[in-house]
Amino acid sequence: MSAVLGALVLLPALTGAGLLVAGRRADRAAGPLAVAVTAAGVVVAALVAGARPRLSVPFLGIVDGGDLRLVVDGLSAVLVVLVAGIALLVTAFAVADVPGDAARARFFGFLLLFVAAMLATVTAATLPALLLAWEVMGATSFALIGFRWEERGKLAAGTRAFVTTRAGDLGLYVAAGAALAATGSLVLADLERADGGWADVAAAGVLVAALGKSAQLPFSAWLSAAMQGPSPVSALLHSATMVAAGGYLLIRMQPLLAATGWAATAAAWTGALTALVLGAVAVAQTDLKQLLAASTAAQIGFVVLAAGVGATAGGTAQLVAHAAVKAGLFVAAGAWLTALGTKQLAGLRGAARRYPGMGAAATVAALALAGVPPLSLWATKDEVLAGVDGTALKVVGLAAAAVSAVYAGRILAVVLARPAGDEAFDEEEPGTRRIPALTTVVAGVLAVSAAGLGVLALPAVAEELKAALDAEGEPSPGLGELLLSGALALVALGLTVAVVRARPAVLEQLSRGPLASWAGLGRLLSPRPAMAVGRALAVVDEELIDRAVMGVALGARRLAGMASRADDSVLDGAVSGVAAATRRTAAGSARIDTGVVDGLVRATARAFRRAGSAARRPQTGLLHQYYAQAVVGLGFLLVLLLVVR
Amino acid sequence: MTGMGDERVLALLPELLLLFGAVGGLLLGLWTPQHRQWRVRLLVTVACLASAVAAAVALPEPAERVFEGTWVVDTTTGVVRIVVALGVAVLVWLASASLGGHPRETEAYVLMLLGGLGSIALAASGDLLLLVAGYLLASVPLYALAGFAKDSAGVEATMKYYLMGAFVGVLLLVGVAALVLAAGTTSYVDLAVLLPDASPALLAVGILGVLAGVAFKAGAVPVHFWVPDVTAGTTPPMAAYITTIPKIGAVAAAFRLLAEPFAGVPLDVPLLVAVIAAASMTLGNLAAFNQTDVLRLLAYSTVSQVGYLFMVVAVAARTGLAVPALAIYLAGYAVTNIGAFAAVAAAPAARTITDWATAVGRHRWLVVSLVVCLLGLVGTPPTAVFVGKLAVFVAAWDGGLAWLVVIAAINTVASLFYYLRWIAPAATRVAASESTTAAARRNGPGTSGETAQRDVLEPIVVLHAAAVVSLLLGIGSGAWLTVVLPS
Amino acid sequence: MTAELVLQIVLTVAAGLVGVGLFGALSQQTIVMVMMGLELVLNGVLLAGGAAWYFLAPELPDTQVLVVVALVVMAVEMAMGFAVTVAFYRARQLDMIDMASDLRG
Repeated sequence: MSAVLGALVLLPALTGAGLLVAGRRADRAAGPLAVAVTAAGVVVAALVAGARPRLSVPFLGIVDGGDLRLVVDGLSAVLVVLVAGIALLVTAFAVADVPGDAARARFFGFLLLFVAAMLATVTAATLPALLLAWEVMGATSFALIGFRWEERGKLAAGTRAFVTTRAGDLGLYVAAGAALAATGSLVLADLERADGGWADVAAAGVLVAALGKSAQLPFSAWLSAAMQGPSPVSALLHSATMVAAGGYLLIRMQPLLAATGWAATAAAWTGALTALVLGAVAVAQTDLKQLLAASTAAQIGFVVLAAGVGATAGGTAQLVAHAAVKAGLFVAAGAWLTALGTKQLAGLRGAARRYPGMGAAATVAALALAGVPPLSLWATKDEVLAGVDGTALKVVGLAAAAVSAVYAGRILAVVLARPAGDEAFDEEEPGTRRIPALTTVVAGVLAVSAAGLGVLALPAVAEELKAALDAEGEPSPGLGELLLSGALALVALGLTVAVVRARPAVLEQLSRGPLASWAGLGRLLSPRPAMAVGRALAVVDEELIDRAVMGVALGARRLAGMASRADDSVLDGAVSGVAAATRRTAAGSARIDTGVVDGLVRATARAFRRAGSAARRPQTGLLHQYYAQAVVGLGFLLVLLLVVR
Repeated sequence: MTGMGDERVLALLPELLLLFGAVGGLLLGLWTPQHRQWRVRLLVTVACLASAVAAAVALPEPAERVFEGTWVVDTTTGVVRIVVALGVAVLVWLASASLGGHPRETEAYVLMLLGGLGSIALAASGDLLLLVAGYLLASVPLYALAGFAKDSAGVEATMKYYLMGAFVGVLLLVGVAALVLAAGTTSYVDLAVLLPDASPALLAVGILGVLAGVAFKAGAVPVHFWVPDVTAGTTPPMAAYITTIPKIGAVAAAFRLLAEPFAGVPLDVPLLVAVIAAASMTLGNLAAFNQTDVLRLLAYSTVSQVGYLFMVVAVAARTGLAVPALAIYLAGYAVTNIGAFAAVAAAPAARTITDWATAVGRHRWLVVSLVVCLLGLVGTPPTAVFVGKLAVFVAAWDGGLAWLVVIAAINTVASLFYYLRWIAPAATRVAASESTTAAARRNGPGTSGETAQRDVLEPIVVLHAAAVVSLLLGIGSGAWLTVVLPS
Repeated sequence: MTAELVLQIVLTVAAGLVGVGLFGALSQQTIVMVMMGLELVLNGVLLAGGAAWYFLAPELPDTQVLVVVALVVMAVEMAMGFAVTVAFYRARQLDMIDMASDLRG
């Protein structure tokens, strides 16, 4: 059975790598092949979920847990099936959505690699395996978001996603170091046995990595930038993968978080606040995909909250239900973008009525997002909130649930409205004015699952899930709680729809506020520190940065050139654009803070340069001085040996 | 005296094969015309490979001490034997690019073999006197090799190398004499018993003298002054040889000294070695910072690498992780270092970083392999040195030298800078000259670029092979470590 | 004189030779004179080795072999040293060590 587990990861990984190597020659075959592979993946995932195998490949033999180990337990089984299922549906959507003349082999190659990395992440049982998968996932997400690098800003968006999640990833390395130092083992399950300060370090590392990947506060801004990617990528990134990986990691590491005490509380509050703040951000958006992105961070906030309060079953259920809901909505948004050429809410007025099939699916998904009974997120959110103890936390959680009904209501009010006929289409790209049947089917399947997962509200089903996750005894919501949150969602939804219909100006005002620009989170995580380091190097060697920038740009060009040899001339423009932008940013940030930071940086760099010259000064070329220096050095060592016992 | 049972000649089969290769090569060279000297190269290579195979076969056998305890055959020796034999074989081919047709071609190969034998002797010695003999054998052939071209820079390199070597060799003998006066014996096993009771002052002189000897062969501070000058003065293949082969034996010798005779002495020898390690890695990295000469840059980088290697020497007696860490790092270092010098040898006329970038301008794969080797020297995953460095850091941490690990980590990050200084222009030039390559390709085969390339085929092959092996050793470390070091 | 005292005297002389030799190696200008200084250090080692054999461990061969090894080192180093000196002189017409400093930095 362990071979099947290997196949689960290797099949998409190898196919993806093969597609990337084959390049544009494989463009025609890429789509069907990817669908076939992901379909096989679903079968394999089902097998794996049933048989619960384990697999170990030697890697770092010197430490315990240094191998690449994949293990399927209850939590992994749920996520494996989820990831495989969503991957199949999104791939099918991508076949219909990605234009035929694009570099489809590259797209599906990266997509499959990405899926493989996610599958490895959710089954990894040792830190080396987790780190490997985690890194590959980050790198491929960068490639996918920046897929249409030739368009303005898309590469920068990919870079932002990469840099932010990268910064968080360092936490995972810190956690690995702490694990090694504390327990001498790299097995994930051993991490909670770390004692004292090491446990705190490890928990902090895990927390930062997970929050970065899941776009929780304060890392949320990258999600906004990541919307620049193709719609299937958004659908995949924001549902079962990438952002889900952070939530998964926290659920998996829940014992460690609980062991430290403070980490669990921090996770719970971060999750709740993200759900509230990013919910508010979502309400203020005027762009459908941006709205959905903010709502993703908000909904994953509930998962993080669940991990913080120890409601692992509720968190897992929320993760699964959210994946289905959000994938469905992104498919709808992507289909409308392709058909109507816009993703601005103003332009999408009445979109559901123009395309009834897609409209029905999107409506169901949006209702689920709002938390309307008896749909899925209503049930799972209550599962999460049932585990919350503190009153303050519970109030924040309920408020966040109400906010989710508001932004969902905003979508519904717009797309279900009667088309006025003067909508501004084709604002972003020329629309095709049709939605392929395949896309509608995919959205329909996702909507049905989004609705159907509401069965989790039934106590019997919920207990079944808890048994599968070894989480028996976790609190379940009472009937009163379910009714309260259902009513809250309905009221919020109704009010929102009414307000949007009657006083559109209210939302108009909202979208001019700071919330619309993601509450300034983007500025919070600026690349300025990295630039400061860059300048430090530049002071040491003025030529270098220039060369490095050129080198990186040209290196990227060569890589890209390999991926798509056909369009060299376009690449040229993009590359020089990146290089110029980098230099402009460097120059800009240099102008901005020539104050204390700059002075410090320069002083450090100068000190290094001076030390560099000083280190070479003994190398005079005169043998006599070598002799003398060697004798002095050995004399010093002799004194050291005699004095320090 | 002990019985005859421990004089198992066949235990030295790998060394004997190298020796036969050297003697046979010398004789064959005498009766071979000038233009057929490749036969000698072939013979020497076969001897090296046979020696490596014999060593590999002997590797799983239990450790033993032969010839009255003077020659130790254990895992450390086994790994050094394999790495040195394979390294010499590769370096012979690397050197053949510049030595082919040289009137003294055979002598060079034979000297290379003998130097390798000396390196193994250093690693295997279980007796101070054998250590001295190994020191001589690993030094004298190298003096000749350093100035093999007999040009102005070469003889200056030889002169400095020799005078430094003679000076430290004398210190080594003083150290040995001091230890003999302290304990009355030279065997490591007896020294380990007797040294703890000896006078600390005499011990300090003895230990310092002996460690100075091995530190010189390894190129560690404060007797590293020869490294940059010799590396820059000699030819790139010889520089690769001088900075790789003897270092392996010397580090293994230092490791054995710390693990056996110096383990119980009432002085803080691990601290001494840790200070040497910290000084070597810091000084090597700092001095490489502004370096524009590729050979000098690599020379300083080897000084810093020795610093990392001495970390594991410092904890030799303190942790069981030390032996595997040493084995991994030695193998990874040898492969990666040879690769980096092969990159220089591929463009022998280029002295500075920019010259090099211009010279290899149109061969993008050369740059790719160079990047793999240089990032390997930094210790980037998934290269072999990364695994080695990780193992060394873990061993040092385990041995209670956390401060040294911190210094080493800072140095590792700092070292990235000067390797990037080389990578950046190389990568830029490649892209800049792409158009000319395209034009050349259209003109069909046989253009001047390809003729020039033929002259330096061996270094290019070695560079690519080193890059690939470095990656394979790194990625497959889990697999081959279980084979080499079953624990 | 007791054996102990003789050993002290012999070792003092040996240490003196080592010291003088080191001074010579550090102060002399020509290659040959530096080599002579190193030879003096080796002489000190020889003397110390002989003393160790006679007074400390007459039953063990180790110290005798040390004397032989020191002799061999002397011979080998000298042979190598003269070879280097000749090569150096042929290439540069120099025999002063500090006049060769092309390689530095």
